[in-house]
Amino acid sequence: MMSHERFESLLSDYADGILPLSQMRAFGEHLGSCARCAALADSYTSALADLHAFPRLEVPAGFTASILEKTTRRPSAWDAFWSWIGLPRLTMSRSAAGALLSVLLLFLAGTADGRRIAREVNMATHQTYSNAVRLYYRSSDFKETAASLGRKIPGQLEGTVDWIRNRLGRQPVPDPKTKEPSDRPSTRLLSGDTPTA
Amino acid sequence: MAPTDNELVVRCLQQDEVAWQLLVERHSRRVLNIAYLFTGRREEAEELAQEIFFRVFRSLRLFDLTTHFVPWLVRVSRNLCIDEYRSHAREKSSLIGEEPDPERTQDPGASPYRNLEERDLERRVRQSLETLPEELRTAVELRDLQGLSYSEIAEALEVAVGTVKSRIHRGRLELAQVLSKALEDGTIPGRSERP
Repeated sequence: MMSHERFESLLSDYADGILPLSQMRAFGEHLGSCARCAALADSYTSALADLHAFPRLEVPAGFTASILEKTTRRPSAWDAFWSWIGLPRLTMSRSAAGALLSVLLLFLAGTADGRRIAREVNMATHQTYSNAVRLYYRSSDFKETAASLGRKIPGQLEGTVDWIRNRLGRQPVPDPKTKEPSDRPSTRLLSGDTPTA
Repeated sequence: MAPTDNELVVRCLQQDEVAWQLLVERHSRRVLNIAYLFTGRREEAEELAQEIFFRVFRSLRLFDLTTHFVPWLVRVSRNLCIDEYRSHAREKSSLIGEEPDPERTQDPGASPYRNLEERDLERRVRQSLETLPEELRTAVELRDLQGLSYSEIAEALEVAVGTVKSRIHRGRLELAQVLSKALEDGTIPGRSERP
């Protein structure tokens, strides 16, 4: 005959369904003959049933994407820029930035030096944009030359090209074989020479 | 054949984002429910779970590849819950004994009676677990709420398997007594008939 203590020690295995067959018979006999242990087994299994029926949350839509966004997001070109110049990133809306720039230009236009500065800013902006467009159209040249030299285009340059492509509305890059020969060989950029303006 | 967790971790360490996505998808439900057990609120659990994954991502290189991923994940998750949420929650009120969030897991298709029943069950289990000593409660939670095996719990808690078995058994016994007594006294909502 199984003792109460022995019965109690086997309850967990019984509830988990891992009680060996060799002990099952004696366990069952005790369960059928001892009211106290039968009540214990009943409350034990009821408690387990409560635990197993405890409500579980389902993963909401977008949960994984949100985690991936937080953990693997690459810094944007702007993030890289602010990080490169070593300053905390300024955040403002486009309209606020536009308004600030307008006020600044109006202020500068009121003085002789201001007009000169505004003209230079305008020219520099235009030059930067046209350089960017040129860089985009010659990105294939860079890649080919880099490949022939066994070198890789720096990741940041790749990112810049992508950014310009987006700004230009994803126009296709012209086939380098059908393009006019460039006036500035792209190898100069890769070999470290300073391109002429 | 699906890659094991440890294989995915190795790939993550080689900057493989797909591997990380697989790992997150595979374990997000587990982590979310660990967080929910601590918060009792769906929104807070989601935030906490995201924080957990963020910490896991940053700590991946600390994971010992000769061990198993799930116990490590559970340990990291529970530590973060304890560090960053539990102490804060204790200031406000008893954590596990908190009133369950009425909108936490409700099935919109279920009847109001069914939802009420689930809320009662959640309150009943939380209140009973709260009465257990910490080490017994943890063992029972990991086994019966998180579904970990004895060996996984042993790894997560860094104790012997025998100790885990003993804690789970004692925890369940105490829980059964608490629940029976509370039902007799009528201090917690009763059980409805189960099929």
